[in-house]
Amino acid sequence: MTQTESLTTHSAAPTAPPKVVSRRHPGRWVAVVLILGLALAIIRWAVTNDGFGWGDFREYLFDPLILDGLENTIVLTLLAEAISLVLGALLAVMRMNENKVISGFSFAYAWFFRGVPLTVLLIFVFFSAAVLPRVGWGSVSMDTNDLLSSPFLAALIAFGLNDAAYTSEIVRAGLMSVPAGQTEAAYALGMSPAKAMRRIVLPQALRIIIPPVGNAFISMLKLTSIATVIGFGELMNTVRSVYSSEFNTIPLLLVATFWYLVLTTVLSIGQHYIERHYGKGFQGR
Amino acid sequence: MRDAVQDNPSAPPADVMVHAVEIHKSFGHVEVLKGVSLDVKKGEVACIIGPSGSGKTTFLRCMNHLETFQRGDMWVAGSEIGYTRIGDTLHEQHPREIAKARRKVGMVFQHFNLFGHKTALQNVMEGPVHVLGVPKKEAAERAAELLDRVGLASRKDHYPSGLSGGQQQRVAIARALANDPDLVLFDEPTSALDPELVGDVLDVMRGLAETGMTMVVVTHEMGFAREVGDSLHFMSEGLLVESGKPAELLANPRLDRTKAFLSKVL
Repeated sequence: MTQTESLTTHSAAPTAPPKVVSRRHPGRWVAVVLILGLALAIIRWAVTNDGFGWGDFREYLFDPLILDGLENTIVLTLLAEAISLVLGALLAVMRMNENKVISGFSFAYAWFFRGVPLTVLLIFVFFSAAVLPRVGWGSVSMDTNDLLSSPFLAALIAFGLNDAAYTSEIVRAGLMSVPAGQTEAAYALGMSPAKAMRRIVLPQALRIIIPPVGNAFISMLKLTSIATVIGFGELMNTVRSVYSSEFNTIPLLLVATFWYLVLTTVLSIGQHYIERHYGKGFQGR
Repeated sequence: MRDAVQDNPSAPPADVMVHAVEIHKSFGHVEVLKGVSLDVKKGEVACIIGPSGSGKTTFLRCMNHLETFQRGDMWVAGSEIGYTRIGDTLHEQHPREIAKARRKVGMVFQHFNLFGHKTALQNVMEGPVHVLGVPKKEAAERAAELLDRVGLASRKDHYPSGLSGGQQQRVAIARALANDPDLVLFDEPTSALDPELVGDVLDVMRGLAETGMTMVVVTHEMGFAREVGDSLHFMSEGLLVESGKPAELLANPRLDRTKAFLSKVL
């Protein structure tokens, strides 16, 4: 009886319910001060130190020679990535084939091209006329030297073949991430295997495939600077050619850094929108 | 083509929707179907029950060739599906031919298998637009009608991830009906649902049965089988061991293993 009474009095009390005060984080404030201090120090160093040569940086940023190298880098990256995606997707589908020879070929391809250093591959393709004087069949053949005398084509082939090995693994992982029930439901509607792949499996696999492909794309962008070993005039090659005669190494490296950061930013923004498109129906998972 | 079917001595009469003859199926060395035969007439609701591992789902999946088999003959909606019999041997059909035969057969899966990247409406439109070639506008109208019929008109723009299990399964039923199939296969359609959501799905199936749709239902819902089913088939260890009118079979099972199974589930 007394208990009931005390309960009644308690609930009838006119006091407001207690308020929550969020916890303080003094450690975070210390970290913020340290980070801001470090940032200020770096900016001050960059502005006051003459060694950075910002005059030269401004002078060469839009130099026709540099812009030419930039264009070469962009074209090589885009085309090599296109080859890598098409060939990689083909290899991934082959790898999942029931036939052991077909899947074995795809396995061997990935094993070989992931194992061979890119520099070796570049130089090998550039000089492949030594082991393969003519390419083609019968009358539709041409001299390998004519075809690959331009370092551009050699670089394109080397980068495309190499990167396809990695892309194939990314695509395969993406395709395997789509549950078998999706394919079965597509078949049950009367879709052919090819249509089920195109309309149902691939769009959902892309959600998984895009982030690592974006990574590989950005990685390829910077990797194209290796093409300098066969004398291809990409961004780093032109930058190097300038500073080796003018001895303004740091400003020219900053020019290259600036342009690589611009390209990476563009690619990241593109990736964001593509990811959002293929993430439809899966938000918050 | 039509002549060939009529000439074929093993073809079933025109009013038989499913004509399964002695289906044998093995996974490796394990024989999961040991010669299962079943006829389902037009407009009939056939329910298949049995313990797990008895082969009932595998048998159902042979009816639209989601499962291969090694011996037997499967006729669905007037044509052979999966294999063409020439003399005494079965020859696997071209994927295009199999895909074409599947258009007449709707399927509802235990785990719904809705296309995750498409809204409810797009899921239902997918078959008509991209398999049958129906114009988009027309397909969208018809899909909206079907969603209304399963009570989900207001959810047509939701993605599957935003629907409950029961709602997803009702969208899946609408999708299975979108191609105007001659029959619909149900593979344990309520087994993956929370108990309070089972009723809505069964109501939709009951409504479908009332329209005269031919249905083959693998289920554990004995109440549904008794009320809606025209025939009940009990499978055990890869064989269809007992068939009959649902009320009779449920009340007076003939075989001991049917009795044992029913005593556990009723």
